[in-house]
Amino acid sequence: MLSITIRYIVILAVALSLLYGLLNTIPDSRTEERISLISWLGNAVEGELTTRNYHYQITFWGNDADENSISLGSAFISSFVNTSLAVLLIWIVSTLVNSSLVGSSEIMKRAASPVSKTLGLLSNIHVMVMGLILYITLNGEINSLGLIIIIGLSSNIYYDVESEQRLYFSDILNKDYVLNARAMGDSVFKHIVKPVSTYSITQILGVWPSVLTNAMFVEIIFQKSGIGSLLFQNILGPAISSNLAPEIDVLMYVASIIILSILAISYIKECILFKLVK
Amino acid sequence: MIRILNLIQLVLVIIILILIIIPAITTTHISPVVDSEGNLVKNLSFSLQHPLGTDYYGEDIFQKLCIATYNNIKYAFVALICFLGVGIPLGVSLGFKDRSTHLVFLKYYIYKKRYSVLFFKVIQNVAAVVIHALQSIPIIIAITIVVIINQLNISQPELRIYADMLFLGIFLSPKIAVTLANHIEVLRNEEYIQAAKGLGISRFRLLTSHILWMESRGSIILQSMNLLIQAVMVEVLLSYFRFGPDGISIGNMISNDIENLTGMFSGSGAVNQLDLYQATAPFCLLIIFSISMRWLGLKAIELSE
Repeated sequence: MLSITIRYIVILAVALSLLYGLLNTIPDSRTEERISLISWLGNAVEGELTTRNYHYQITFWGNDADENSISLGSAFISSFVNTSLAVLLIWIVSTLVNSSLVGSSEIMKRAASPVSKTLGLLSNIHVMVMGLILYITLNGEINSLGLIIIIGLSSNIYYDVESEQRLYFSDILNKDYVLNARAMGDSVFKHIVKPVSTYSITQILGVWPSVLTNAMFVEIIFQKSGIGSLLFQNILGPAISSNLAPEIDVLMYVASIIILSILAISYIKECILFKLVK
Repeated sequence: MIRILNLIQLVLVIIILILIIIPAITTTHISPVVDSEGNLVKNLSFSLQHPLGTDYYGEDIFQKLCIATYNNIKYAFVALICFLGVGIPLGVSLGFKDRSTHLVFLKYYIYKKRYSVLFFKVIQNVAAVVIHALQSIPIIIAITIVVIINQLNISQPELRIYADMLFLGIFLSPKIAVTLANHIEVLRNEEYIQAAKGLGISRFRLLTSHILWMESRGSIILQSMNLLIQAVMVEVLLSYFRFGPDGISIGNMISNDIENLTGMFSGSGAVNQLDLYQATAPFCLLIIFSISMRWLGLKAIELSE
């Protein structure tokens, strides 16, 4: 466990140094944009997010109705909620489809097969293409459920989850102890519920970062509240179009929280796997 | 029988891709269509000479699509070169030896004076940290930072997109690295690899010929196809927000038509069938391109197995 923790601290340090290094490659004529890592950390901890003359006042918890202020907290919550719901949707649909496909009922198998193929094909379409097509056909109006469906069922994520899960289901149903339980007339479900739930938790945690990326793509296209639209419309857009100095420290702050959340999820996943192996 | 069907599907996908790529490579310039009196032929309907007609500026839309595809493939290949150039060495470093990050093992190799193994272990640990660090940065964050840096550092707009793609390839390289490392780890204990080692085949040949070419080419092709799709999509995203290249590209064509298209579907714009077909052409190309690339990758994996 200690080894895993140390490794993750090193990874976090390397990722943040990489970002910091990249952001500090800005030319010498704009030296005022360079910040020291220590002062950035100090400012961020004190809640001082806007340090330069910028379009917006940036706060962690602010008034969303105010056009001149951006609140990072609501963007994070919105993206994280959308991502988590999309992951849950992927898992529920894939479990239902796979349970029918590997189960003993022929009718369920026949019903699930076309559903699996259709969802697999839809999943092969990149989130950008699917998002843009729906943006055009729905005239940019989409509800939360639609948003979650696009996030979950695109960019190969659903396809990968479903195929991996099916392999696991087929494998576990052919294990000796399951066959033995079946032969003895015992409930198979009782024997597979623990390994399947552990596998599902690690699988859900494993796809979370990819789904977060999808969520950001969709937020950008539909201009919904979230980290994606915050980055592209409120930070990148004004910084480039009006040639203003980009809020590097805010960008660093946003990036750090996302990296931290992704690494925390990977860490939890590795700890679960470590405990399992032990 | 299944193998023959797979082969037929693969050939079909390759034909579709060739039909997209060959006109794209052969079309080098675009010239406005003029009639016998020298006037521009605007909004021309479909014909054999102009399969998608002409636009408001009298330019052949099919020619424009070909040039856009060519430009996008050019940008995507820059990303692909970086992706493979960084991803394969990282994957090989991570997977070539048993994975153990525990410091006790490193101490053991120092104690036993097995410095060559220690060297490999250190490289492996460095590769693991780099891969994890790159994986923890979502691609949108990476793109945002890279676009800002390139915008401020590079003055030539045409070079900026190449620099963006270069970084895209680097930031996405963990995908191929992890796939390769897992593949190598499984293969390491295979009997024929052990037999090849016993026959005295060099490590380099074992790696390049037995592992990378014979066993992992399907995975490499699939990941490369995914990267090409991702690179095209990133160009579309950047052009959608006007951070893309200045010339003709799929992203620029889509971003120019998107307002007309949303107007048509919402009923606020004039619904002209010709405009509709012309505006949806880049979308159709994008969908065909992404699906056929993905299929090609999946078929390559099936055939290599």
